[in-house]
Amino acid sequence: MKLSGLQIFWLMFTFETGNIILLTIGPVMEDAKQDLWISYLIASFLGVFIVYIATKTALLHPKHSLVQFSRLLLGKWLGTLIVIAYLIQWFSVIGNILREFSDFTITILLPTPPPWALNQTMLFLLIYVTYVGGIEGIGRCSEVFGPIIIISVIMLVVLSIKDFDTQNIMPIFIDSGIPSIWKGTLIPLAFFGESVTMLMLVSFMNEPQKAIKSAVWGIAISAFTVCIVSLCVLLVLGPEISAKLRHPTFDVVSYISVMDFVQNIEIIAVLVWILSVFIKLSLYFFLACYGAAQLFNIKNWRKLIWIAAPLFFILAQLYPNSSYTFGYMKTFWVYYALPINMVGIPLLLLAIGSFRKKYAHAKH
Amino acid sequence: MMIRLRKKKHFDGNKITPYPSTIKNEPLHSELTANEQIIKDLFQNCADLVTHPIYEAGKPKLLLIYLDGLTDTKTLEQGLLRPLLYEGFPHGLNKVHSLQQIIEQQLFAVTPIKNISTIDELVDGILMGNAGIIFEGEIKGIVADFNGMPLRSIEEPATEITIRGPRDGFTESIRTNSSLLRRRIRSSRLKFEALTVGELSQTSVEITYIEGIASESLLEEVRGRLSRIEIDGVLESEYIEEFIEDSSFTPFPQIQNTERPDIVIANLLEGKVAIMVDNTPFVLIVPMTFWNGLQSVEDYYERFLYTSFIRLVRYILFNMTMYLPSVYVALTTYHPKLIPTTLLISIAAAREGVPFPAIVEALIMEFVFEGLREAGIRLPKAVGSAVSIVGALVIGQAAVQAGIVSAPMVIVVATTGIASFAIPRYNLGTALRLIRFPMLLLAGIFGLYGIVIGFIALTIHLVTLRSFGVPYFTPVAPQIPVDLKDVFFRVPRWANTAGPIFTFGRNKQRIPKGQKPGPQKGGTKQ
Repeated sequence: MKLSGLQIFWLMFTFETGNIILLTIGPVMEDAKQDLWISYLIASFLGVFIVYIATKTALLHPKHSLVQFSRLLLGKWLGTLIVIAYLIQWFSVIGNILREFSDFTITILLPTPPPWALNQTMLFLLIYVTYVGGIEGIGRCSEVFGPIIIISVIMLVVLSIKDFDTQNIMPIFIDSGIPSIWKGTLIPLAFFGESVTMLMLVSFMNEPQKAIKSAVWGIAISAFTVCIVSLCVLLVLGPEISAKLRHPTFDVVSYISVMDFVQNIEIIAVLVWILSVFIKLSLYFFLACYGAAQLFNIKNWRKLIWIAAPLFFILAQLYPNSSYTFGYMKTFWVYYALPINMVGIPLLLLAIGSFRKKYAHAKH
Repeated sequence: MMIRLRKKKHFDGNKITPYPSTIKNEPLHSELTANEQIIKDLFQNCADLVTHPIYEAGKPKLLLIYLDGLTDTKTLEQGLLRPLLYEGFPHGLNKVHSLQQIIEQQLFAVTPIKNISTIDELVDGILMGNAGIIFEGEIKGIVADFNGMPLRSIEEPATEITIRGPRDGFTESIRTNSSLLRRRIRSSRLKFEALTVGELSQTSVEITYIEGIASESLLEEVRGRLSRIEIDGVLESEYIEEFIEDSSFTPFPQIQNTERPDIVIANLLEGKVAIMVDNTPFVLIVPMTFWNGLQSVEDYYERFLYTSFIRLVRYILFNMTMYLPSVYVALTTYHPKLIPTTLLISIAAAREGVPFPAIVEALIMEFVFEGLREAGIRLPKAVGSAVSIVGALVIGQAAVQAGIVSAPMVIVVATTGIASFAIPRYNLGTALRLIRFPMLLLAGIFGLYGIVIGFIALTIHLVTLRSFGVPYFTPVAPQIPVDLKDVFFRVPRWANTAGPIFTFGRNKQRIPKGQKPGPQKGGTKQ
């Protein structure tokens, strides 16, 4: 299982783009009003910074994954603790995304089947791709889906240009102020911060020296796309309406009408979004299985698929409803995962790792 | 212990060999009659065996053995029999010569010969269509190539038709086929490595490649996989294909086959390896990628702008082959919102009297269409046109009028059928046609969501397939940006300076850069 630089690029791009566009724009609009694009810009820069730190940290031990090198750096117990922090994040988020995915798909796409049916079909795909392809298969899928997502976003922007109202962006900065912009920044940042998965992914690369460039570009392009889409939503719907909507981007898409012939294409947008969610889920699924296998020293990590899959199915069933998803995102993700998993631990590992390396150099 | 007990023993019992094991490596006898008897025993009940003694002074001096029909008797008569019978046994240039040497010299001008000393070699030679000659009092014999197997003349291949391009196609004879290739590459670097496959059929198989372009690791892989085959007979290259392909449980062909020498050469020049099998005009080419199946040789014989456009059309058509019926079912059943209102009204009006749900209707029609196609191929040419007439009447007109299927469904199925025939590689087209059915079912259950699920599953399947170590979906996934130019477009030849990286390697260049024609370079200055 080997990943190339391009695969990292597309993985990072597809991994991030879909869910940020779907989930974050409403809440950010609530906080930052018409200045949400500033929030997104700040989040983009910080997100790129996070992925840079994470990749840099992973490059300290390019042959070892996070699970291995955290124990190398911090010792057995502290290292295991750190790995457990990440495993909590990964395991909890899969059930959450899975549930959010089925709820959203049912709302927009097809109202008849029960959520568990959708969860199950998606789980089948996850098992299939992780079992047959592993991380390589996921990377290659993202190479196919990534361009489709980019083309769709371009289409979305181009087709909604005629609905733009530039008054919506005014006045800049006066209504919100720094605190609310910063508050708005946190949510997308917490999503961009998921790119700390690079801590694990670098160990799969055949040319680790390309890791930083590819990952940073992936996040940068993703952030750019998200900024454009957020601006697009703002220009079409205005801050008041979109703050009240749960998934404003898809309402923008449903605004699109070409010559009264192409209409209601939010359904197509959902299909494209599913591609991105699939990549996100399968990457987390793989990391959860692989990470847990490494933690418990299980040689054949594929065995864990059969334990993880039912677990995630149950988890997805247990999530009460999709407003809970928003709660999870706004609290756990922003107050726990962002400071600890995405910023704290990578910085800590980087500091200790660099110090050790320097110390080792000085010694010799 | 249980596992060890259950483990299968290597089967080596009653293995079929071309001739009984009793004559294994038995040397030729010095007596002619003894040899003749052995041969006659071996070829018991073989009416096509001819043994022809030639006498000198009332005694059989030499025995001619061949299989009637495989040997060119006319040349045999002119080159050997006539001189022997009319001029008598020649005498050597010098005094003492064995009869064998004399005959050898006699035949030297006529045909290649081979010295033999065992019964095996003699039998092998006879079975190849050669004439065996053994002599009284000598333990050596000759196998002379008077091969006259019936041959088909070189014709235009029926399965791959182009407007512009060479009209010659492979025949059933492997020698003719190799000569067609040799004509195109006049270099000793074009190699044909011979081996035989098939215990009984002893079919000659040749690994063809251009030395220095095909990678050694690929060649090793091909040799290894071919040498592992144990089979009684090989009738078609498909027999070989199923033994050496990477994954059997997939509808997608992982080995390209072609009847056209120019396609083989084009692929050899890209560093691939061809496998020629005797008795079939279909040559195998490895490795194959998914995109090879969508490229036609004519793409490279027409102007690049036009063929780039045609490629685009082909990609749309291949997506239609897989998704069009299922999208129609999904839209009409689950998402009528997506259909423009006026179109929706006319579809609804057309579907009014139809008793089946769209999915059932689609399955029926697809099934009927596949049946028509199969019947059209299998029927003798004389009645073949009847099928299309009946089919057109049945599914085109009568079924719609009777209210059993709706007219839009007929349009959808017919379009899908046409789209599937537009795919240049027939076996890839069949794969896509096969995938249509699970897609239909998914669309019937989950609507567009089901199609996306199917699309993702298909993508996973395609990106994890391999063909001789090359990922099937190269250069799209794993992505090789420089190779994409020959996938989504057909760039002009002067721009395609590098061969495909997956077979060619990163450091090799195909043609030098900077050959873009222009008034300064190409024409005379004014």
